Amino acid sequence: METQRCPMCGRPNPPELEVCQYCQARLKPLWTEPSGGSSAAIEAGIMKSKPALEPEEPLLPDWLIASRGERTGEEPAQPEEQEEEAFLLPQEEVEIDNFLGELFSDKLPEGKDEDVPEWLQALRGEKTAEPQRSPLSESGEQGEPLPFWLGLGTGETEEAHAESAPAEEKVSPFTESPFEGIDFDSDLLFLGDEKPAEKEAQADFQPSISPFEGVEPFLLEEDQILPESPLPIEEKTALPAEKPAPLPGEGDWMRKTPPWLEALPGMEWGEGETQGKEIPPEFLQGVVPPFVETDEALSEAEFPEWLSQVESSIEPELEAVIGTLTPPTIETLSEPEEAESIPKEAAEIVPQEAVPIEVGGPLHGLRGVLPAEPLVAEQKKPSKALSELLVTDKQRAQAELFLRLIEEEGKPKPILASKRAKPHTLWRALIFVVLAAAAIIGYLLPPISAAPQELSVGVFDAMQAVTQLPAQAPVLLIVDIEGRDFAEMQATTAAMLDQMMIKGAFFVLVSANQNGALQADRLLREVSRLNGHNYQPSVGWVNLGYLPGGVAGMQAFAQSLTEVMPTTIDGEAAWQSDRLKNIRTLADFNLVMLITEDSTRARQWLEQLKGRVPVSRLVFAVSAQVEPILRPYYEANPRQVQSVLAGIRDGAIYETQAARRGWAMQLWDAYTVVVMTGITLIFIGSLVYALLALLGRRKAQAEREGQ
Amino acid sequence: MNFEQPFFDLLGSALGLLLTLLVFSYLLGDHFLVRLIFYGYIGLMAGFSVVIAFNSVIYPQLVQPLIDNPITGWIQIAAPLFLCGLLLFKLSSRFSRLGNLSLAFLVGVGLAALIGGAIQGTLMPQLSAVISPFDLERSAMVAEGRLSGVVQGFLILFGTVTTLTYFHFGARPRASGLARRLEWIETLSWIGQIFIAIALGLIFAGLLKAGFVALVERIQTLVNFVITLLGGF
Repeated sequence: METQRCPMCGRPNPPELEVCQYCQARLKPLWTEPSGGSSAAIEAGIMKSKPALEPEEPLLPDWLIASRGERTGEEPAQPEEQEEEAFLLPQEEVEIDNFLGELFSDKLPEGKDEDVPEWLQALRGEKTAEPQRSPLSESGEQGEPLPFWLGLGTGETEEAHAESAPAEEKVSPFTESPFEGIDFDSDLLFLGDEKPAEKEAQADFQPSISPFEGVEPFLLEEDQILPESPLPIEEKTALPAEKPAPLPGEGDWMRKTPPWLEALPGMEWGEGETQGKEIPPEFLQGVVPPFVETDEALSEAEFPEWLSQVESSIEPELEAVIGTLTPPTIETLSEPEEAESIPKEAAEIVPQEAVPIEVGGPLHGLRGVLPAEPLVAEQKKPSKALSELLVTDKQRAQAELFLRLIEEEGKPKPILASKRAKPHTLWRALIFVVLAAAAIIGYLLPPISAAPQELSVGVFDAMQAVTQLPAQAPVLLIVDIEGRDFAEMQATTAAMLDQMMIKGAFFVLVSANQNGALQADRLLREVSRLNGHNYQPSVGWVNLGYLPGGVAGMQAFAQSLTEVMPTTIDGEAAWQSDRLKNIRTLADFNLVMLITEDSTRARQWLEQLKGRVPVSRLVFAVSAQVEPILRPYYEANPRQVQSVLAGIRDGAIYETQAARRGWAMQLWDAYTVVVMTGITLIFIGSLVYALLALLGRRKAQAEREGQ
Repeated sequence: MNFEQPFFDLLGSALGLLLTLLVFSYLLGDHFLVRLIFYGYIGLMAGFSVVIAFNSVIYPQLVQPLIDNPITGWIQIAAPLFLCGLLLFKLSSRFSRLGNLSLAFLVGVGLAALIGGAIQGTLMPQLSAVISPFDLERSAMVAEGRLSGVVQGFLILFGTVTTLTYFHFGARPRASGLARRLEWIETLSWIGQIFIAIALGLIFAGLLKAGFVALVERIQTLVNFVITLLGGF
């Protein structure tokens, strides 16, 4: 497999690539330099390069281009090139070209007819039919002509060499150049060697493509003219292996400037200047590339039929190859419109300092060669690490996670049916049945537990407060209870209210919630009925009703109760009765009792009553759930409340201590059974859940071990 | 018709029994009768609240003064009536801003009373209660003795500090990006959780007790009604 090596990094690349796959350097130049080092010598002195190349020129022989032009009816590019070169070259050099063109005109040796094909002989015949021969060529027809370079090796005289030079021009019938088909760099170095095979090969060499094929005049700096060899080509070619003696006439022929040439302007060089400036031989200065005249000759020639067939057969393939190999930039520049559109300023000679010098690769040191593309092509071999993306494991994991998230986002997900927690209806019903059965059993069966006998501090202080009440003392009952907690509050306060009724206390009822007034009235009615008292409204109590305003209302009531609550719930004047006419402030009550199941309401009342009521006259009867909140107020030092009765237990204790069987004791037996049942259910339920959790954990562990 | 008192008592008890059973049936699932009872109860309470509000507040505070003495009554109710009128603008989205004055008055007065009462009735007394056990002179006057008072004071102080520490959520960001409290704060917070758990357990036990009492009272009412019915027949 053919490969092409990168000029920068030297690595092999596939032939179809245009840039190196390793260093990204361009493999195929945008601008193809004409092949052959000799072309530079030939084009010496031309200070302007052709702006663009025809795509076919580097690849197709000129005769093929000419024939294609004939078939398509297009004129070959030769006239334009001639015009361009006439434009590029000074007038004096044009004249020299004409002179040299006549000098090296086509002169075919007759003895070589057997070495050329028939069609070529026919072509020659046409050419020789119109003799345009110089006088020198006529002398060559006398004997067997040899190439002039063969004569160099044999030490012929100047005259023989002068005669052999025109004979050399007949080597290539397609050209009129004497150097057509000669590789000056290699082949001529072996001219002196005794190698018959090579000599024969040289004699039979019929180049189909001239080494100057496709060479276009381009700009060359003066210091770039023959950079490797200061000697003229003729001198270089005259270096035999055995180093023969220089030809006596060679130097004169090469160095002598003809009088007509000396008269030309710009030809005032001396010998020293000539050597120092490394100029080519005078006869080569301004030489027009030979293919120009060759194309012109071929355009007029007739090709054999088989060649036309071959041409027609290979033409599509060639066009395909040309289209593939020709860089697009050249194609673009080769468009005539765009070539004409190039401004003249851009086509001017670029200053030497502006032309960059190649600093790397095989073109190191040359100026005006391929653009180095310093930003793309590195001057050193790129490291392998740079050619690989450095990705850490964390970054790779994050990238994979990100990709997975993106993929999952694009996938539709079915909507899972929400597992709504089913109410444990059966369990709830079962628990209710158990508790209800316990309550019924506890109520119907004889007491299984004794009445509470232990006297708590709160009950003791409450009993002390009631004991200290004078007869028919006004008592303020603040009842803030709801219907749901009425039973508990009744059980808690029944014994204490019974004791106060025994003492003939007069109750003033007030409530900070809308239901409280009715609940207070109900409470007193129930206690009076259960304990056999004859307490009636207006006689045993007055109900002030609902106290609006929340905390502000409490504060206003604590400050001036008579102004805030002037009437009873029945609309009568509350403070006009004989038992309440001396009441103006809260401190005038002998006892203030708060009955509530709401901890917030209890705290608010406590805060607003602080300082308005003596602590010894303030008693709280609350639900069991409020006790933890109010206990700090009671057990503080100093106390903020005289006593706290909490729940049915304190009510039962109070009844027991008062030797009264009241509402608390009626509920107590069933209550204790239900509480014990409830504790048992809680314990069993906790145990069941713990076992289920343990079993589930073991099952999960077994599944993990099984996997 | 002449209805005797025991008949109403029996009718009331029967109605109460029926309503109680229907509410208990909620344990078996939600149904129309339960919702009917709930909606009826809500409507009854709303109506009762309106009656109470009118009977306890509007009439005696707004109407009665005008009936008793219109001149002084207008002077007395002018400011409250003006503020109540502003509250009516809350019904309109266009003029609702006019009612903000009354709301500002209510909120301002309510918060002032609440904060003042909390400082006077809860904050300062409770702080004093936490500190007071370490007052040896006062503890000496207590009959329980000095040592027990100090030990109790330490327990109260320790429980209070650890419980309050649990509600301290300030933390400094660390190098790892996580924000955690200091270690000693974490330790005190963990101990405070124990006190909080005990307090919550106590409150939960109180709730259970209150519920058990209510259940027992309802069961006894049902049983008494049944016994009464059985005794009557």
